[in-house]
Amino acid sequence: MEEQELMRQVQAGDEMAFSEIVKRYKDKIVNFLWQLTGNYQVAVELSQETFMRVYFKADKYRPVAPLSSWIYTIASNLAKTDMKKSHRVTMVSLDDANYQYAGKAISDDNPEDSGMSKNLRQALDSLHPRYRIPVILKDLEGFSQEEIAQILKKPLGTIKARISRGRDYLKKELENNKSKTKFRGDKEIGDARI
Amino acid sequence: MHEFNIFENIKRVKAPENFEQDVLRLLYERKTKQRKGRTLRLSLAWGFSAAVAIFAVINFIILPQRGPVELSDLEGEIPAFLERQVPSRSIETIPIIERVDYSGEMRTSRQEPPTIYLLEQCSDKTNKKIKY
Repeated sequence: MEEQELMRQVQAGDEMAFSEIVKRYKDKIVNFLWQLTGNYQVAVELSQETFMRVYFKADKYRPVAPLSSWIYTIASNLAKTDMKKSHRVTMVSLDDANYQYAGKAISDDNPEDSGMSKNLRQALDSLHPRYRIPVILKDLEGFSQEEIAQILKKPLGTIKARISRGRDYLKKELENNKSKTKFRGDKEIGDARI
Repeated sequence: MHEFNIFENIKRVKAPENFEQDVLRLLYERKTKQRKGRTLRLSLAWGFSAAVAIFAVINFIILPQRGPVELSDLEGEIPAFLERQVPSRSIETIPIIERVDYSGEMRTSRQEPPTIYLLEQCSDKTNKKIKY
């Protein structure tokens, strides 16, 4: 069944149609919110709240946009509110030309976990949600820039700039981490030789 | 064109197994809560409306009828409930004089037994002497 038809049924109070929407979007939304918050439990709770809003605010949905855009709008708004509340936002000013490292320190407690994925996770966590959300929507969820502009209700130019700057920041972060890891590895080899 | 592909290896997660059941349970709870809230709001609204209606009836319908009555307006027609209270002009005023005898209430000093008061100085600190 088409999503617009499903939403019409949800607007009429059909719980089966709502259940079908949950089934279709649950993994995507949980993953999206996990990438945003970095906390699985919080991501699941926010996903549940997202679907609650889909049901109770169904009458506000207009079929001019795809259903996915609308659901992602709700999810990203909830995530932003939650991050503001819990002060999980690490403020990184991308206006600094040198992009100084402002993220959390890499944990040396568990070197087995260190890898590309972990570095990327840390780099994402240190990125301001203003840049993190469009980057995740573009590169992880596969939305077009126009769709992201629609989801975040921002001009297209703003979204393009944020994606570009967010990606640049992540690249710098990953390069920094790589050089640090390499330096650490060289040092360990040197110590072993001594 | 160079494609940004650093997210290829990033970890992805899925929703927990009982996610749908949890969402539907939450939905049921919210609906119940919403229904209760609506009932409560309706009850409060009805109660308030009833109170306003009673207040309006008392103030604008009942009380004005029992307001102060101008006697000049009641020349020909006196309402039944006021008939007893309004004195008729044809009835003459009858002065009533009641004699009151207070002689039993008065007592003279002669009737009481004589009393002798003995005054003594109890405290030495008093510098004034008692005069008898």
